[in-house]
Amino acid sequence: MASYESYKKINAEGIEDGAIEAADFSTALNATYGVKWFYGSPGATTSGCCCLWTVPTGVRNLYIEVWGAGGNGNGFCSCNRCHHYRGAQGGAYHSKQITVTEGWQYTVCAAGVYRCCSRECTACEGCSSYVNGCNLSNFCAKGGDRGYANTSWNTLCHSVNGCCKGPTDQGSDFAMVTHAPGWGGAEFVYDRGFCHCYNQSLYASGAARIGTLAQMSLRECWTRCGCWSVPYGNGGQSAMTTYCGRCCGQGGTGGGGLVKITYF
Amino acid sequence: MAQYSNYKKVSGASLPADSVTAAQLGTSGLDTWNVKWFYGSPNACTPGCCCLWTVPSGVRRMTIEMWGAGGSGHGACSCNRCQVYRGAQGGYYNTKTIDVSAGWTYTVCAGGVYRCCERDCVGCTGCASYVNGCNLSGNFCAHGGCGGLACGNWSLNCHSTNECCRAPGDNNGDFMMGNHRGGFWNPKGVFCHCHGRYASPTAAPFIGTNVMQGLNFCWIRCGCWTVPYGHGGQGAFTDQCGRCCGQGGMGGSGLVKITYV
Repeated sequence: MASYESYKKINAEGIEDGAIEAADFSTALNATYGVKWFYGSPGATTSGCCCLWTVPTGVRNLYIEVWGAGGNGNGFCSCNRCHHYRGAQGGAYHSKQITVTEGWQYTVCAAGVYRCCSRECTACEGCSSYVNGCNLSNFCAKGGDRGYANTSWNTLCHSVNGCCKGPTDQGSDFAMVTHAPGWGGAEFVYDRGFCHCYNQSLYASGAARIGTLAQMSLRECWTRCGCWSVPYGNGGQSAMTTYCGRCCGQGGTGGGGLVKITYF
Repeated sequence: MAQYSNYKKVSGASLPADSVTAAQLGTSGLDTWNVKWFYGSPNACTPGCCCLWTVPSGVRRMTIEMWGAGGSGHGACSCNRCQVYRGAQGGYYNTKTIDVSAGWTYTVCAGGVYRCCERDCVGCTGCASYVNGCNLSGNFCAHGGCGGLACGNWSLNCHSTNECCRAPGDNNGDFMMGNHRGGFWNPKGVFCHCHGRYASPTAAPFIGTNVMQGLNFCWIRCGCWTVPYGHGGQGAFTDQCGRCCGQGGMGGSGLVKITYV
C-alpha cells in the first residue's frame, strides 16, 4: 500500500528560481570531485601500476590523462669505430573526458619499465599506459622511442617527430608527443684514427606536458653507463664512450608511465 | 514554541529524481569551481607569496598543486683551472586533493628566491613552497631544486642525475616528482683555455620551460638574473681561469595552484 512518503513529492516548480545555494547541498554533491594518480615505483625496474578502479559514488564525469613510459637508453655496441648517440624519447600524452556512472569499473595501467636491450645499439621502446572500460576505445599513450648508438656520422642529426601521432589518435580528445632527440655531436680526432671522439653531449627528452630533461655528456671516458632512474615519462640515458670497444656499457631505463584521473 | 517553519522541512526523498534544474540554482549553486594561483614577483629577488587563504562559501574539495623554487646558479670560483659546470635543478612538484569546509583557512606559501652564494662554486638550494591547514600534514610541501655547481675536477660524473631520492608519496602528497639536476657539459680544452661551454639548468615538472647557457670565448658571463617560475638558475661562466665578478643567477620562484569546487 502506498505510504505518505511515496506519493508526497515536492514539485520542483515549487522551488523559487535561484533559491538553492551551494551551502544547501549535501556533502556528497560537490564533494564528488577528486583526483587519483596511478604510478609505479620511480626505480629502474618496475611493473608500473595496473589495477581495477571503481567510479566513486555520485561521480558523472572523468577526465583521464595518461603518459607512456620513456624509451630506454642504448648501450654502446661497436668495436672498431666511435659512436655517436641519439637520446631516448619521452612518453606520449593522451587525454579524454567521458561520462560515467558510479560503480563502473576501469582497468588502469601506468606503464612499467624494465631492462631491455640495454647493451645493444638500439634500445627498447617504452611501454604504453592505458585505461580500458565503458566509453573508451583503444585509449592509451604510447611509450617513447628508443635511444640509438650509431657509427654512421652522416645520420640525421636534428631532433625529429619520431612518431606520427595525431591529436585525436587512440580515441583521445587531445594527444601529443615530444621530439625524439637529435644525434649528439663529438670532437672527432682524425689523426688518431676512428677511436677517439671526445666531448660527446646529448639529451633524452621528457614526456609531453611534463617537460623534464635528462642530459648526457662525456669528455673522455672509456665507459659511462646511463643513470638508472630518470623522471616519470622521461627517456632513459644512453651508455657512452669516447673510444671504441664494447665493455659493460649499459643504457638506463626510461621513466615509468603515469595515469591521472580527475573525476566529478 | 515551535513554529511551522521550524519543523516543516523538505527531505531529499520528497524531490522526484532529476526534478531540480539549473533554473533553481542560486549564484553560488554549483558554481563554486575556481582556480587560484599564488606566486611572487618574477624577479631575481622576491619573498614569494605567503598569505592566509580562506575556503570560499560552498566549497567542499580542493586540489593543491605546488612547485618549489629552482636552485640558484653557481658562480665562477676557481683561479687555476678551467671548470666544468652543472646546471641547477628545477623545483619539485607535489599535489594533494582534500576535503574542506567553507571558512577554513590555509597558510599558503609560494617559495621565494634571493641572492645566495651567487659567487660560490655551489649554488643554493631553492626554497620550498608549502600549504598548511586542516587535512594537511605539517610537512606538505614541494622542495626547491638543488643549486648549480662549478667544479675543477674533470673526472666527475658527467650525466645528469636524480639528485634527491624522493618517492611519489613523500611529504604527504598524493603524487610528487622532480626533474634531474643538470649534467656537466664538458668543453674543449683544459686548464685555462676551455672553450665551447654549455649547460642546461632544468625545469620544474609539469611546467616544462627551457633555459640554455653557452659560451665560446669569454672572460666572464654572469647568469641571467631571471629564469621562468620553478626553473633552475643560470650559472656564471668563463672559459679562462680567474674569479672576477662571475655571479650566478637565481632560480625561478615557486608556485601554488589551488583548484576548488
